[in-house]
Amino acid sequence: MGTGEPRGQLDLLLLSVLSQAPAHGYLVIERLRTQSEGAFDLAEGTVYPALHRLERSGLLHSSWSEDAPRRRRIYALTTSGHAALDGHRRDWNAFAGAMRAVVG
Amino acid sequence: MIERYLAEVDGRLRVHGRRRRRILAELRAHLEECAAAHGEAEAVRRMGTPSLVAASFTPRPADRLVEGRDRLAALVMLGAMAASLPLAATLARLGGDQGSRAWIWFLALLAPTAAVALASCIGVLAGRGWGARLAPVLLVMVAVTALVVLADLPPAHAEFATYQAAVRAGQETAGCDGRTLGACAADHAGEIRTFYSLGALALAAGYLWAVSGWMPGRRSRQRAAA
Repeated sequence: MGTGEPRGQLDLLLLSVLSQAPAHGYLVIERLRTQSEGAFDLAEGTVYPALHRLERSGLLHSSWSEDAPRRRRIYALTTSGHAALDGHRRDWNAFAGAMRAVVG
Repeated sequence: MIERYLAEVDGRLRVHGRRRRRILAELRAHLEECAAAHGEAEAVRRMGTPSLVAASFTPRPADRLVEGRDRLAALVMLGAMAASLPLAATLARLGGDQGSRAWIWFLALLAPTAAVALASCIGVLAGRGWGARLAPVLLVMVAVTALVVLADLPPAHAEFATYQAAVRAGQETAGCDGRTLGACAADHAGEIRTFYSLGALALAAGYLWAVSGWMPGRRSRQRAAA
C-alpha cells in the first residue's frame, strides 16, 4: 500500500490488533507493521492519542504492568470495544466488497 | 537522545496533570523498548517529531481549551486574590484607626493559605506537577480558614469586632443608608464573612477540579464499558 497512515481506519486497525490479545503500545505498532507487511509505517507517537481516545470512549481499558523488565501500559478491548469492532468490520467488509465489485 | 526528545515533547504538550505524566511515561517506555531493539536514533525517528506527537494529543481547539483549563483556573485564582487585596487594605486601615492590632493576626491566619494558593498557581502556570498537587492542600486550608471565620473563632472574632466598631463609629458607612450604624455593622460583617468564605471555598473546589484533570463520570463510564 505504501501509505504512512491508514487515515480513517486507524480505530479499526487498533481494535483488530488488540482483539488478538491485550498489548502495550509498542507491541500494537509492531503487530500493525508486521501484519501489514510494512505498509502501515506510522509515526509511532501518534498511535498513543488514538489509544487514549478509544479508552476515553470506553472501547479500551488499560493498566500499568510491572511484570516486564520495564513498566508498560497494557491495553485491552472492553465489551463495548468488541461490539464496536464487529460493527467496524461489517462496515469495512461491505465497503471493501463494493470497491472490489467496481474496481475489480 | 531519549531524554532530549522527551524534554521537547514535554515542552510542547498542551496536556496537564495526571494525563501528562501518563503520556510521558508511555512514550518513555516505548522509546526505551524500541531503542533496545533498534538503537536510540531509530527509536526517536520512528516516534515522529516532538511537535507532531505533542500536537496529536490535542488535535482540536476545543481539546486545547479543555486541557488548558488548569492554567485558566490558576489565572482566575490569582485574579481573585488580587481582587481581595482592597478588602484586606480596608480591614487594616479601619483596624489601625481603631487602634487595634487584630487585623495583623487575621492576616496572619490568611497568609499561609494565600501563600499556598500563590505557589500552586505559579506551579500550574509553569507546568510543574507540584502546582496541581498543592490544590487539595489548598482546599483543606481554605475550608479550615472558612470555618474559623464563619464560626467567629479567634483571630477572626477580634478582627470583625474591630470592623463593626469602626462602622458604628461612622468610619465605614458605604451602603448603610436607611439603617442604624449598629445594624449596618452587623450586616456588613455577616456579608463579608459569608460571601468571602463560601466564595473562597467554591473557588478552591473549582480550582482543584480544574487542575486535577478529573472529568465527571469518566471512571464510571470506563467501569460500565469493561
